Amino acid sequence: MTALAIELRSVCKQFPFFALEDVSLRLEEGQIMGFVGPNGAGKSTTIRILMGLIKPASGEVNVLGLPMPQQQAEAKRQIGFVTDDMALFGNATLAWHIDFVRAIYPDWDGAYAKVLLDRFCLNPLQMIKGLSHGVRIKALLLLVLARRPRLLILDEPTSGLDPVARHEVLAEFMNVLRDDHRSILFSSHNTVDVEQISDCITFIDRGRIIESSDKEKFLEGWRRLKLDLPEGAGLPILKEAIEISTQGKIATVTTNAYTQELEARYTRAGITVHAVQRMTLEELFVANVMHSRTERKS
Amino acid sequence: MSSSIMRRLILKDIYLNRMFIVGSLLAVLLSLFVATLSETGFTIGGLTFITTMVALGIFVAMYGVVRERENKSWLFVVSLPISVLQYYVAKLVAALVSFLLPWGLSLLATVAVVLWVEDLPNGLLPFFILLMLFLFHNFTIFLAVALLTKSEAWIGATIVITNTSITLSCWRCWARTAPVNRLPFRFGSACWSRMKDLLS
Repeated sequence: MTALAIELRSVCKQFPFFALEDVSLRLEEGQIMGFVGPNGAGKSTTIRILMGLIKPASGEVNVLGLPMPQQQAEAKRQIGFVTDDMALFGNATLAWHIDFVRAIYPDWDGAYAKVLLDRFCLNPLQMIKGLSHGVRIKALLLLVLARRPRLLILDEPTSGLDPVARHEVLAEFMNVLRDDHRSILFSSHNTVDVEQISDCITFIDRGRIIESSDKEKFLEGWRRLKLDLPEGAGLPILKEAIEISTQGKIATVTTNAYTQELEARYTRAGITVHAVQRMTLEELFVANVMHSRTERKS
Repeated sequence: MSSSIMRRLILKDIYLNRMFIVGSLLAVLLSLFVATLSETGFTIGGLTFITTMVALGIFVAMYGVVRERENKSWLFVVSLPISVLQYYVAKLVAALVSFLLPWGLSLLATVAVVLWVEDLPNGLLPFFILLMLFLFHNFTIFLAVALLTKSEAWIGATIVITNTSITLSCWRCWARTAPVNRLPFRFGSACWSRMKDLLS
């Protein structure tokens, strides 16, 4: 059995205007999990619980086999954590920050830090307050990656980066995963980034996990079927169809459990399957969230 | 391991506060120099001295605690191998050291000036020591509020409450009636402000 980098079991946390409800999550070692949700879905709260910064009201949290928040100091030795709003100290240089972090982490990889300085075009002598948002994120990633952490927890790390910087950063994440024992939890609402690098994907909305699965399984299961309805015929109600829209004789069915048998069932009902379209992660994310909200209402 | 990280965090804060520490010491030395020049200089120097100490306390707490939390550099620090509690202990110790270092040196320098310079008002030494304790007391209250609350309203109110002239006036009224300050009246003349009086 593969070891788990992250395990959350039935975690709940209430705030005055928001609650995390029964959140369960598992990330195996050596995998990248895309943690996707709209704004205010609970991504950052979940991540702060994982980092031991917020104590859950109930449930169990284990990171790299260590219970959180009880053993957060021990766990954080092996975790690299970056958020898009995290800041460094404005009145110090990047070189000062490098010295500061290097003194704390005995496994600091100076050679790799130099490679990253070069790759990210960072000037170690520049004061942090003079850096743009993108360069600041790169500086933070350098400080985290050169520690060689076993687990990277990244909260919207590519938000606000230009396309070139995003490409550089994502490529570096892929480099990290060359070591089978390293894992990444990558939170974002940018589904393009998530689709590009993730092995598995978890969707969260309004404080609840709505789906968590292997990326390929997600992409294979979700399809949009364009159907031509015969005159006077109705569309059979199939449990696999999670969203149906009809315009005259043309119907569009979205399913999260596509098989060729589903297509055959429509054909047997006298319906012509005009097209079967694959969906992008963004499309299936939106469909998933809307479906979950409809179900919660009903 | 954690204690060595905490030591580094404390040193980090002292390093980042270095301009306030050095700047306040220079301002105190300047104000002491001005205070010895003339009667007007004494008033200006005294006011500059108090302002410097008040500003030091506000800057250390605002810059080291409040601003670090507001600009989210605290997230960078708590991502290091420490617990949240250890983070706050390191913050508390670093802020106290950053304030007490210039505060202590200023106290020593001012006591030396009061003892060696002639023609300073009687009763200045206990008044000054009580004033310094009052300023330290104000700083600890402000630091505690800065560490405990994220509310700007509470922080603002604490700055106002601990530093208004009303507070200072109340304290001065109390200081005048404190037993130690009543001594000059009981004995007819004050004897703590000058070295020659102490030695006689």
